[in-house]
Amino acid sequence: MAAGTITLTRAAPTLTTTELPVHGFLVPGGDFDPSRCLSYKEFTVNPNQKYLLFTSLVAPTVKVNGDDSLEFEQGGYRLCYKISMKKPGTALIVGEKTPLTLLLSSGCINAASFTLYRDDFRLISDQEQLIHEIKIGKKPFVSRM
Amino acid sequence: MFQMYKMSMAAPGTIVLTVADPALKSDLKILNYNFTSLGGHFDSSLCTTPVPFIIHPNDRHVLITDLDQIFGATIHNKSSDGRRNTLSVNEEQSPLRLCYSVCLKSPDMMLHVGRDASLSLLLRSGCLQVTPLMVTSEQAAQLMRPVDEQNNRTKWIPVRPPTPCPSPINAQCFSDDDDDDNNNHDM
Repeated sequence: MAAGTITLTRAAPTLTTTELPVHGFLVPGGDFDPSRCLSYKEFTVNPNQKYLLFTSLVAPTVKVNGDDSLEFEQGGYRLCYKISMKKPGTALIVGEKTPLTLLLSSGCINAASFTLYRDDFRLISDQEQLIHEIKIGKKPFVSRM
Repeated sequence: MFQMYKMSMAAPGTIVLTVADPALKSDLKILNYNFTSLGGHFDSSLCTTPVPFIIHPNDRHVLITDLDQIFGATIHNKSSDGRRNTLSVNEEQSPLRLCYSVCLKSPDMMLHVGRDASLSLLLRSGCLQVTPLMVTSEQAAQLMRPVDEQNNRTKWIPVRPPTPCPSPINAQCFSDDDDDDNNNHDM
């Protein structure tokens, strides 16, 4: 599977799991730009299964004080997407370093954006540690970019 | 075209970083601009501003995207090993909208943002401090003031070029502008 591409295939017979598969889309360094948000590793979107895609965007909520200032509130919300295949007989292979925007605009998945509070996100995996390691350059993801 | 050069030196789809004009004083207000996507899905590289604007030193701008259906969700952990999780999205609450709060890193520069410049170009320019933020639909409505109202609050009076060495095309434009100023001092 070529990096940076998605492949639509006929779905193999699979068992739907009760797990919520989680996959990361990260921006290699710098400010968060959604168009530079790339998949961390290859994965397959099977039919009849929902997937959680998390991004490296963590944004606080704010209070708008008239025209003069924004007051950033504590904590932060991580931008995530819930996706599933539109057609029951097809699967989508998402290569490593595939742009999130390519996946969302492919037309073959249902996608809904949502936020998870930072602490809630820790419940699903240790991906926070993974992101931290990516940011400090322990993982090859950054070094190859 | 002439009006556009008065508002911003940047050609459509581009941004231009120039030396700040010390004659222009910031009013330290927040200015807000909408960025709208061309396609159905939010894509920062296809998300563009319909109006040109200028980011002055010490100004804080809120760039409002059209990614506005972001609902809050919670994870329910059903097993001790953490492998069986369910996700519930609360669609009854007001959805959040993704925005970016930006300001210039350098106090000596100003940034001219041309019409149809993409959000991605701004975020990747390297000359802005960028803070993503989530606002409710009510807050977004509060932030979305008419552009004319915002422009009236800026101190941008194009009495002379903002850069010492404008291009010949721009020099011509500003030369015309100066002539107009001589004829009409109310401008």
